[in-house]
Amino acid sequence: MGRTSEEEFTRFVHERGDVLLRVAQALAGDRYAAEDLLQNALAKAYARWPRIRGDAEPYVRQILYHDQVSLWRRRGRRSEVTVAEVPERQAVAAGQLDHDTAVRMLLRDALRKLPPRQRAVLVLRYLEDQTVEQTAAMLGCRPGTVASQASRALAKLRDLVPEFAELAPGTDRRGTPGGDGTPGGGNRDDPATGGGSALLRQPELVGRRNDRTAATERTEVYG
Amino acid sequence: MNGNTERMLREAVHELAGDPHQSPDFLAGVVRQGRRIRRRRRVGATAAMVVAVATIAAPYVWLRPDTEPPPSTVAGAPEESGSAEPTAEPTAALLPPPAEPSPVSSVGKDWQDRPLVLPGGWIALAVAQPVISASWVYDRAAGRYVNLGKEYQQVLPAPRGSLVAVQRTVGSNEIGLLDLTTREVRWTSAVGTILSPRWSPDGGQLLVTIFDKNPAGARFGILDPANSSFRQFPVSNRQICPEICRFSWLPNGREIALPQLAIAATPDDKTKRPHFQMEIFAVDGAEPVRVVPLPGNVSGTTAWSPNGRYVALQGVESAQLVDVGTGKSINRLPSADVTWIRDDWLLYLDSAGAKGPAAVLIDLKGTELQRLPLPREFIKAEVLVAPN
Repeated sequence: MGRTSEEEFTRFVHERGDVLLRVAQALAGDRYAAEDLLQNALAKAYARWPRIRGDAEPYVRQILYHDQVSLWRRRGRRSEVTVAEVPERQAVAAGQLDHDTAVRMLLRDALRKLPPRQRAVLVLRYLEDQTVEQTAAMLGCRPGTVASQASRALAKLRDLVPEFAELAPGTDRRGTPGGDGTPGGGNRDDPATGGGSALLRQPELVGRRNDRTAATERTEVYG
Repeated sequence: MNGNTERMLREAVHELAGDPHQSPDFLAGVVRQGRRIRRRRRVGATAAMVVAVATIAAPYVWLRPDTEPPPSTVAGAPEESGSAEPTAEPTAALLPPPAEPSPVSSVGKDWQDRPLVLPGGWIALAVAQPVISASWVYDRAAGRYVNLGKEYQQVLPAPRGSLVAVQRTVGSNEIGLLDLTTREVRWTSAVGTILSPRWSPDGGQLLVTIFDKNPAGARFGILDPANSSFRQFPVSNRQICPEICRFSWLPNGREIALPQLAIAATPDDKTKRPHFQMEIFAVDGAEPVRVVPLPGNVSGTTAWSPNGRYVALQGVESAQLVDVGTGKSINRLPSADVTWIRDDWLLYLDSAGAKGPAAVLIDLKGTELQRLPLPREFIKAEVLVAPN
């Protein structure tokens, strides 16, 4: 890579590295795994820099999500992030935090226990504010798969954090009727699973303007 | 999930993301790993190139183009590299003498008001600008460019007629056919990610690449505007794409190519080594009809010269002009993403030049014949060109 390209790449990492690290940390669940994940993605971007320099960030994001999900798939089992710290349940019990803060902290730890694919869906929907279709494109799956993964993620979060389930009025531990826990079926009122969004809309009626996802033109798709 | 639980979950996800900062040695680690990846690719592909060059002699009769070249994209600056490449053959005796191209007018800020003539005499047919999310398409009837605004990220006019293939989002699951005369759009959707629409040379069919990941795989789709049919053909092999998995038309308009980086035992060596190849499909079948080894990656239909003698491709280190008959590298080129204007002229878009974007006409030796500076709208743009 020429000097100009090296300088461009360095500038890109300096300018966008922390933003990408934030996404990686949400995906990987801890700081060290996040740096590994991002380093791999950026190294691949470095190797192809002259060709992707105009669309580097979508390219790197795509690799982040792909690597996170495919690493899990290659391992052949659900990898759940181990955390060094004991979850803050003791602090909650001691009444040291207000209720919302406590639930949020429990949720944060529960998120780490989700399988990477489910966590990736929630990260795309709630950290990156992507639509169901955009999430599906990023993860290379169907919108229906996004809905079912989100549904299972929410069901598991409610199992892990009963206080979270109790926040939803009129729901049992499995969520609202006809929604969570049904493989392949999204809750139509649930933005995480695509309900009430554009999942079933006709293309002609769509007027959205999305960020470019050029990085979906990826290499090694067959690999 | 009600508003309260959604807010709680959103906050939890944001907390999980935190506010991390790179460690001081992070960039150095990235660069070290990136260089290792590049070295591995070079070593593997260079070894394969020697084998591929020896076996390329692919009969060009299969690949003979139509007499009228289709519109074609020009994009991408050459990769900067000082590393070694297979030695180019002496060219003086092989190549015809270059003729002088006609002068072209400089391009003003009002370039949209008339056909933008490029070096070599072709015109820009469409300009898709991803940075400012804008696109312009040349309206043949009106003699000027139509600004499609921010509505579409992908615009691809057909070689003939008034149809333009459009995508609101590159990589979405839908593709539209916009009729410039009525401004109506007919949308077609597929399960999977639709990428890289390409019109057939006669403009009668639209080829798209469709990706799936569950299970992983690629298909090509053929959209026929005449009867609105959309046929899809899953591809069974699992080779690795050298750069972008992208189906393209061969110049004959009857076959479709998929560039690949294949990993297989070479005839003279038991070890598995990667090599470039193109898998060729009939337009109506998912099974490959043949495989053509190549010493690099061919960007698309327009990389083949009109007389069928040469092909421009991206080698391991640089773009190369290759003699199809012998498989030998003739010259290095500044870009592999070229459009052949005629048998001895190639056009490419230099969007990374220090003086701004430019359309550049080169001869077979890679010598620059003419350079036309372009407005800022052409920075990193994908430009479709066609005969005037």
